[in-house]
Order: sequence, then C-alpha cells, then structure tokens
Amino acid sequence: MELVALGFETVFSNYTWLYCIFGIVLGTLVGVLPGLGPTATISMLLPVTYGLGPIPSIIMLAGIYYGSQYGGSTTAILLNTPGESSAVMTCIDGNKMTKNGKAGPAIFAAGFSSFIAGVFATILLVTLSPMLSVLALKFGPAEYCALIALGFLSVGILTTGDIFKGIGMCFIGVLIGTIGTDIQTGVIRFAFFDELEDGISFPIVAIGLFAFAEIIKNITKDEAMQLYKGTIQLFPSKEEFKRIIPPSIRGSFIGSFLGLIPGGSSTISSYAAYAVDKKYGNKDAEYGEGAIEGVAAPESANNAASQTGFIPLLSLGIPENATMALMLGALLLTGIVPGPDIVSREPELFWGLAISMLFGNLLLVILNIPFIKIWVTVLRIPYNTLYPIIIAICCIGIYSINSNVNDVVITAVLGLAGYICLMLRLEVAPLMLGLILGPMLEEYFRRAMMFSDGSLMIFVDRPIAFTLILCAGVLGIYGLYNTLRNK
Amino acid sequence: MFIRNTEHLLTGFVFFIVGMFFGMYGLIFYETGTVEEMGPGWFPFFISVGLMVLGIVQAIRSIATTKYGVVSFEIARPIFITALIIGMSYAWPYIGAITALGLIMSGSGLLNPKYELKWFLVSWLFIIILIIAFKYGLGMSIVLWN
Repeated sequence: MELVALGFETVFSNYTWLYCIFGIVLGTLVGVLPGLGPTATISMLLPVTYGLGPIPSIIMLAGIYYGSQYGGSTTAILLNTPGESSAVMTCIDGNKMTKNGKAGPAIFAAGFSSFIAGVFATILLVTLSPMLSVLALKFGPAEYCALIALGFLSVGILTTGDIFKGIGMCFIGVLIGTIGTDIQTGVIRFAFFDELEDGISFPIVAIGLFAFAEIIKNITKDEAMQLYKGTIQLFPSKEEFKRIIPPSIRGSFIGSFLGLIPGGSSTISSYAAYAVDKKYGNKDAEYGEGAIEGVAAPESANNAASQTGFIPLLSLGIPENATMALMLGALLLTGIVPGPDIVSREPELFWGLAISMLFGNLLLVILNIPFIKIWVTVLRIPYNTLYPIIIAICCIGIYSINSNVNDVVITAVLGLAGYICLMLRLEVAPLMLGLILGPMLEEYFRRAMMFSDGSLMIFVDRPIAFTLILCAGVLGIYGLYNTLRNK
Repeated sequence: MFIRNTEHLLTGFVFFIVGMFFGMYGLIFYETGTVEEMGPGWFPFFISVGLMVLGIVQAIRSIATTKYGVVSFEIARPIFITALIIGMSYAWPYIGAITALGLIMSGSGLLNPKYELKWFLVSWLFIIILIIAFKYGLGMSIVLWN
C-alpha cells in the first residue's frame, strides 16, 4: 500500500498529472489523425525529455502511446480509416455499425472496452514487474548478452515477418550505434565529421527515420481526408452494453499476454482477439456485419497490449515495437537504465507510471465518449495542410538538442533513408532496437569474453543464459521456417 | 537466371554495401585485437560480416524465390524535400530561423497543389510563436532574424 501511495504522490505532485493529461490528449489527437502516429509524435517530443526529467517524460510519452490506441479507433469506426495499424480490425465491424446508424454505441464500446483493458493491464503491470526483480541478481554479462540477442531476434522476426530483413536491420542499427567514442578503448570510431564524435544522437535518428520518412511517404500519396457527416448516437442500449463486457475481458487477457512477448504488438493482439472472439464468442453475433463484440474485442486487446508492453520494456529493456523502442530511448536519455531491478531501483518511476495509467485510462473514457464530436472536427484538417508545420516543428526540435544545424541535415538525410526503407518494406523498429541495445551488447559481450577467456561456452554453462539462447534458437528456427515458407 | 524479386535484390544490395563499408573501414583504421581482449574494430567487423552475409542471402533469394516482387518509389519529391531541408539548414545561420523555416514550409507546401496561402500564413505564425517561446522561454541559442 505504501508503494501505491508513493505512486499517487508521484503523479499528483509537481504537476506530473498535467503531463499525463497532455500526453493522452495529444495521443488521442494523433490517433485520430491518420498519417501522424504515436511513433512519429514521440520521436518529435524526444528532445523535450532532456529538460523534463525521467518521470514526467515517461508518463507523458506513455500517455501519448495508449491515448493513440483510443484515438485510432475513432476514425476506424467513423470513416473506415484506422488512425493506427492496431485499429485495422476495428474498421470491420465498427464502420459497419456506423453505416447501420450505430456509430455512438460503437465508439462507446471502443472506449469502454479499452478502459476495462487498461485497468486490467495496469493491475498486471503492478503484479508482474516486481516478480521479475528477483531475477536481477542472477543476471551477469552473459545473461544480458543472451537477452539482447533474444530481443533482436524476436523484434526482428515478429515486426517484419522476414528473419533476414529483420536481423539485417538490427545489424545496421548496431553498426550505427558503434559510431562515436568506444567506451572501453577511448578510440573514436566512424566519426566522419566532428559532430559524430559523441555518436549520433538518438532523437536525430528517430525523427529522421520515423517522422521525416513518414512525412515523405505521405506526401507522395496525395490523399486527403473526408469529414464524417452522419448523426452520432452516443450510448448503447442495455442489451448492447451487456454484450460489450465478455469480449472486453477476453480481449484484455489476449492483449495482456501478447503484450508481454517482445514483438507481440498491439496490432497482432487486435487480430488475435478478433479471431478468438469470432470463433469462441457470442454465436448470435454477426461478425463482419456490425457486431458490437467485433469492436470491443480488438479494442480491448490493443489497449491491454500497449500497456503490458511496459513490463518487458521496464524489466528487461526489451521494447515490443517501434514506439516502445523510442520509449526505451527516452528512458536512457533521462538516465534511467531498464532492468529486472527497476522496481526497487526506481520505485517512483515505476509506481508513478502505474498510477498514471489508471488515471489516464479514466480520463480517456471521459475524453473519448462525450467529446467524440470534437475529435471528429479535427478531421477537417487535411494532412496536406499539416505536414509543412510538422516538418518545421521537427526542425526546431532537432536544432534545440545541440543548437547545431548539422543535426537537421543528418536528420533530413536519414529521413530519405527511412523513406527508402519503407519502400523496400524494411521495418525501422529493429534498426532502432539495434541502435539502442547495440552498445550494451558490445559492452556485455566484451565482459563475458573477458570473464571466460574468450570461450563461448559461458553461454552454455550458465543456466539462465543457456535458456535464453535456447529460446533465441527456437525463435530463430521458427523465423527461418516462416520466412522460407513465404519465400 | 533472372531476378524475380527486386525488393529482395535491393535489400541485399543495401545490406551488402553498408556491411562492406563499415567492415572495410573498421578493418583498415581500427585494431581488432583478440576475442579475449577486443580492440575497437572487433565488434563492428563481425557485425559487418554478418550484414554482408545477409546481403548475399537476400540477393540469392531474389533469384531463387517463386514470389515475384517489383519495387516502385518516387524519387523527385523525396529528393526535393530533403534537398530543401538541407539547403535551408545551411542557410539558417545567415538568414535566421524565421525565414529559413518559412521557406521550408512554403517549399514543402508547393509539393501539394491543394496547399493554400492562408494555411501557410497561419502555420508560419504558429511556428514564429513557437521559436520565440523556445528562444525566450527555454533559452535556446537561435538566430531569429538576419
């Protein structure tokens, strides 16, 4: 109870709750706007985290992330346009409900089921993360190496579906991570000009590869949004309300479980929850024709996954997707190193984040349901009007890091590289993971080899390291099989 | 023997070139050392080799695959916007942030025929307020106007 009280104290002191509100409002906004996702938004806000400190930063960024999961459902339901990839499944029944004159109940179902999932996942976060802290003392360099390798494989395979592309992007990230001063020897590596001596700053890479690349991609699409003009009935009937709860619980379970697995993103969760609910859920519901269950299941799953994704992130330092990789970067930027002992080492951050999620989820229900018409109004702003201002904000954000225009130049070049990656269907998330964890992998691998006199048997002799390597091996074989099957 | 999947081929090419660049550069300029006492070049070299191998695998897949795939992407607009940002970034210290960002916004807006002057003016005003807030509120070192 003391720790829960500490969480409340952290959130409701020093105006931290204001950052939570700012995060969820912004998150909902970017979720509503197709083309401007949470990854791009968080990458744009990374420079701000330098001045805010770790707790307000991570609470704000987390708010953007789960806020966008809520917001993404609005356009999916009203316009059949998912604001977020995780809202794709919501389109199927959500938009059918809109066409059947039931936009209100659909939006209510999305909001309410997300709330149930949010509370469920927060409880899980609070319960599971401290358990992982017992592992902390057993982790040495070999274990960390194996864990990072497992993280690379899981993110590489599950985000791209192609083991060669995923691992290749991880390797590119690791190589970019070697730019700058080598901590062990003091030698400056691959610094082709002075600005690179301290390495490429994480926000620069993130803004370039995510925000700029996304803008370039959207510019070449020439698409504009249309405004929804139908009447919105706000609340569902008693019968419909009853039908929301079972799929929400099922979706919460599925989403929470998949969120724990690195790479099991909220998008996969929403697909899985919809499929399970269609097979085992209400037999009378007409999935695909506007069933309220078809909205509640994926929405609860994607929200639960986005929150339980914080468990591997905080406890093991493994991000489950690109947005989480940025969150990991934000943690490292503010001096917080994730690890199994984070609950005991950073209790204010951990419990503050958990309580902020409860607070945030409640606020999201208040925001999303009664103010839905306001969010729809946001859709009046076409993307082709927004992108010049986004570019300008990015430029200011990058410049503010070191007051150096060369950073803006590097970001622009990375933006073009990111666009090429998007066109070649090369996911940038594994690259970001490689960039973040690469220096750690090098450091731990060096230490492990020093301890073992250069013998790789250290990964076999130590049980935890061996188990993790074994898991990585199994995952690798699965990835290889999957890739070769699809060729 | 012909290329069935250009996506795999181009991916392989990117992997190979990046791997070869880092690998060769590292091998020439940094000491590799031994596995017990790694030099600064050891780790990047082996990662580069891994990347080159993946590049070769991708190239082989482009021939061996049964799944046809063609990559198409636009070059003109992405190059234009990148060059615009780079050009204006270098001009930034001489013409000031307000003008440089205004030119970036108007230039990028030109890429879309539906972009209107009134939207540009409203956006520019917002950006000017933002820069002033950054300069005087957060103490950022920035030349506003020259």
